[in-house]
Amino acid sequence: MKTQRVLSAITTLSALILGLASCGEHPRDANKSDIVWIKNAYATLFRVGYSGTDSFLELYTDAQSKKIAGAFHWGTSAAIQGYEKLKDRSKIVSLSAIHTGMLAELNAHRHLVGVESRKYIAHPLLQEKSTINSLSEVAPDGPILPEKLAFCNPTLMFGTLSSIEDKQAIERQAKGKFSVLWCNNHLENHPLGRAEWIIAFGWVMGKAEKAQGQFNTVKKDYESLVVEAKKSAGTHPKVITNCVYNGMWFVPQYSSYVSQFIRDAGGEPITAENGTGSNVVNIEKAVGLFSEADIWINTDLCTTLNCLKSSDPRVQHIKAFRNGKAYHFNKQLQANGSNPYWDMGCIYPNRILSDLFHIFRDDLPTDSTYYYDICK
Amino acid sequence: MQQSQAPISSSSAVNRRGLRPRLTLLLGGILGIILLLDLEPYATRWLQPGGDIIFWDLHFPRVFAAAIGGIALSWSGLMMQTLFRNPLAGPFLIGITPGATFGVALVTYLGASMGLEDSGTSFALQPLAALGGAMLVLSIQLLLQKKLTQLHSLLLVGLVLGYFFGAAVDIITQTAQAQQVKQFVMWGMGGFDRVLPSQLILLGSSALIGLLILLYHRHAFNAYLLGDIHVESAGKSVKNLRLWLIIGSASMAAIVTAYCGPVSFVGLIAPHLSRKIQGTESHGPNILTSAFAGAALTLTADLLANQLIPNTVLPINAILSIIGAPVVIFMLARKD
Repeated sequence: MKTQRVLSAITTLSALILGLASCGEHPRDANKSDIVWIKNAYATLFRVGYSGTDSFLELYTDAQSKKIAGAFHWGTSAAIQGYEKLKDRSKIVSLSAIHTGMLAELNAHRHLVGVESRKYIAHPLLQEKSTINSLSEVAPDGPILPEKLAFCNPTLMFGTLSSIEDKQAIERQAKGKFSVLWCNNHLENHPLGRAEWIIAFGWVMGKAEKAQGQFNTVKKDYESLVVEAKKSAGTHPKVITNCVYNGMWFVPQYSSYVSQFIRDAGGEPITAENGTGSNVVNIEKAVGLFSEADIWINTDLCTTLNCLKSSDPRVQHIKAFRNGKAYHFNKQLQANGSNPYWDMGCIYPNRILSDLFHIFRDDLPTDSTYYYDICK
Repeated sequence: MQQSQAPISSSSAVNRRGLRPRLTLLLGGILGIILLLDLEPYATRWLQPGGDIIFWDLHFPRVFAAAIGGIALSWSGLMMQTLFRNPLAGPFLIGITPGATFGVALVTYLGASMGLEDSGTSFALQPLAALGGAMLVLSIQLLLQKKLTQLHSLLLVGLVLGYFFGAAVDIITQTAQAQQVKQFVMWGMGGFDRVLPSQLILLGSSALIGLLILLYHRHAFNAYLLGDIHVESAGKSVKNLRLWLIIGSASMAAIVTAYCGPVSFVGLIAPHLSRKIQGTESHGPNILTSAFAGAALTLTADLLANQLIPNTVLPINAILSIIGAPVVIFMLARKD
């Protein structure tokens, strides 16, 4: 009898232990209705959600189809169907200077072990030689170098799609070893949409509140500038962007990232078409479109009027050129070739907007700009 | 006497003797229509404010660069096919285009390294660099021409030079920065938009030099097609004749490549079309017809590149390849 009781107690205890253990290990069905998704203010290509002790991140390939580029979760549940559990964020490789900048902005740059190329990084926290030189370059000339990536031995990677070959190579290498988060922040058309991605990075790094606070500050500043631009702009200057390359001009479309900045700063972008991409027009069509432009911005590497003229002397037919109203974004171009306009400008779009606001208004000084300067 | 006659003339073509001038006229007519279509959109806006500037400074140079470029490339192709007695010869084959491409890649990269990018000098140096690269290949070819008696050796040298400069360009672009690569890629797509009115004179002069060489040596070139012995029996030097063919074809291809980028297929197809129409390989009648065919091809490509998709310019080389590839395959299949 006694033996029977002992056996029964052992069986019950074992069943209890096994039951509890299986509760933790058995994949829980992700019931989407349980997850409370946080609504983004501007970003369209990611979302963060919470359900009990679990939190979720979904990344999308494009805004229309909302096709999943990756779905991840943190939390107490061991596995949730459809979501890859992130386990370790101690060793990170970042393939974009903007992602690297966002990590530094969240004070999480010490987890970085590798970057695409050191020469594109302009974040002030990563400028110290010992810090920047401690980072391995995994794609210094464009294509990913698998040996360098393997040497980094990352636990997490922030990827940006440059080529299908690179994506395949990375995913082959990552299988079972580290998680890859394909971030399409560069496809967001609104500057604040790109800046809002810091929330996704905050979620990954366990700094959601800090990220939200940072974005809120940027958003508030940006939106107040937009209101001011709308209030004060009596006349909207006609604005053109980019410059001529061997007789061709890449003209951003009306709803693109750059055009959004121009509109928000009180300008009127001259475009060839509506849409979010860009058109390649020849110099002939460009001069026809741009002849009455008041201001010319984003002159690429040209920082002088002479340079613009040398690229094609026929730019003289453009009013902005004749009036010397051409502005480049290389004011803070650094010796190593990095330009904070590209990465810091993405994290702080309010700075770019402030620059443009000053440029478009005749009554404001343009010497206090962050990134822009006049072409001399 | 023999050399002044058409060297290769099929009997069916002889029967079509009356048809040839009409076909040439028809090709000229087609060229005229394409030219009008290309000029018309801006010509009608002539009287609008700023219309004259756009027409004279931007539209006219593009259309005429396309026409002159097409003519020069067709004559260059005609001479190169004569030189190698090979209907598949072209500026790519003897290394002219890779040489020019190397020159542009080098100046684009070095320009940035030397700080010339900002002053805009590297943009201005691009055509000169292309010309320099092409002339370098030409000089190597001319030097070797004295030593190499076999034609196929000259052809092989061209191919090897092409590989060599192609590899050098690969190394340069791999180490260049994104903006430099963009600038270089845009040049490599080919196009007539970048040609300035003042540069039309140089393009026209190169075509004129090519025309003079073709007109002066046309009978000798006919004899050359039949074999070296026919040239020697006519009291001419084969080496000298080859020299003229190399100078004429390479200089035209080099100058067009320098100002318009590498323009593919025209030098290959235009002489073929011309020979089909004329029914002979004799140079005399093919000078005019190949010029018509070359200009018609480049103008059509330019028209399609600019009009096919509104507000977008397609790369000239893509259009030419789409037109050219089926034409060449069709011609080769028919010949076989």
